[in-house]
Amino acid sequence: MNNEKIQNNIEDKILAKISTEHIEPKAKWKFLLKNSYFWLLGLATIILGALTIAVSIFVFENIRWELYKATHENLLTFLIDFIPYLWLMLFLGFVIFTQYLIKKTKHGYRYHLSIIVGSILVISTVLGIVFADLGLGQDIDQGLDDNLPFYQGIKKHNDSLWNDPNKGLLTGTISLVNNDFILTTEDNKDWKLITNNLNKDLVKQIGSDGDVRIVGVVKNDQFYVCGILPDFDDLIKAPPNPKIFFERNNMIERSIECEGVRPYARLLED
Amino acid sequence: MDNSSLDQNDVDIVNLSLKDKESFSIIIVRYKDKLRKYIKRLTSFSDDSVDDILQEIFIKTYINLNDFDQSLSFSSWIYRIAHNETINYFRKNKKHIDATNLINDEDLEAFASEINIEKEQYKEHFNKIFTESINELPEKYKSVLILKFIEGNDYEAISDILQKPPGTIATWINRAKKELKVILNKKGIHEYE
Repeated sequence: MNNEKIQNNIEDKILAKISTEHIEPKAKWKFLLKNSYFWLLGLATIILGALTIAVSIFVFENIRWELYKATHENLLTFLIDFIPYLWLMLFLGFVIFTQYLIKKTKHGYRYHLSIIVGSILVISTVLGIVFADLGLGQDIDQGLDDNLPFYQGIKKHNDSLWNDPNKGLLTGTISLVNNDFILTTEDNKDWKLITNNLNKDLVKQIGSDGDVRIVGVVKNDQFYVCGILPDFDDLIKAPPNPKIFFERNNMIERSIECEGVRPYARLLED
Repeated sequence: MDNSSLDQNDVDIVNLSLKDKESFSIIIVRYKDKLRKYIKRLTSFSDDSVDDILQEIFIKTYINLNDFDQSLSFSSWIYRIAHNETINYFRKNKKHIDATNLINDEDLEAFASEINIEKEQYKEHFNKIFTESINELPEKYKSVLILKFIEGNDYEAISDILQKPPGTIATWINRAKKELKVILNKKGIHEYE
């Protein structure tokens, strides 16, 4: 009976509360703003995720797979060294955050997690490919390399592996001084190159085009060259297999000094 | 409140309530009993607690009237608010969220037949055993079973109420039925072949 009475009065009680406490419906724009906020933030995180994809694509494009034998034991150790962990972790973070934001939108709950995550992955990847094509991946990688002391871009990382003369690896720019080829490294150290039987015209040409990569051996404070590879852009035009490039262009030294040079021997493997 | 107002659909009443708060009483009259039953099916709260929750549900509904998405049914929307308020109340007050015996025999029979439990197998205290078994289920399974088999909602409506994808609701219902059968089996109530 008492319960029935309370029930009968509940609408009066609620209306009285609405009146006395001046309760009003929240304005429609506040809800629209809230929903738009999640969509806009979601869009922003998708774009940020796509940028991380663009940088990762740039890294993988500039990894120089064809030379892995010179610097690493096998392709796996090479990949472990070059996987852009930072960017892939950031991408994962953006995917998780974006799906959270989409779930928070008005109808986000209707879609299964796999559909939301799948859509984010597809959209981010497509956008990432477009951004990479526009050069944004390169801009970010090089921009951060120039401005953040703790960030090493792909080019610098790759160069650092090749700036190791005791392991038979050198990289830098070549100049001709008094008929001698001089290689200047990134840290401004000059190496006189002993090129013996190599095609000197081609050495001069690829030296003038940009950085070169050399396999060889240190001999009396000079660098005895066993093989020279041109800069990346040139190599794209050349066969991607360094062995074919060496042999086709007479850029290989088949002397006894080179036989014990590990990167040289590895690059000549089939 | 005149009789013509009572004939109007929920969306019209929502629009009317936004202009005239007195019209909101039609919503309250229309849903108070249904929601009261739903809260009591979901919990073992006292009548006073249920009234407190009910009041909060309608106040929240009124405040958020402009957020009502007309692509949903109003019923699903207000049940969503009711469900969330009940769970919040339970969490805030650390009360025990048991289902009560407020499932009538007719609903119970329909529910039992949905999960292939024969009427002939009913024992003297079947109602009590059945509700006890529902109580042993995790909260989400209990909610979907009550919404589906006692409240009579379809998957779409349950999806809108619990804010989960329809596929997830279907999975929960299947798992809930399986778990309920296991619990009932342990209590001597078996599924027919």
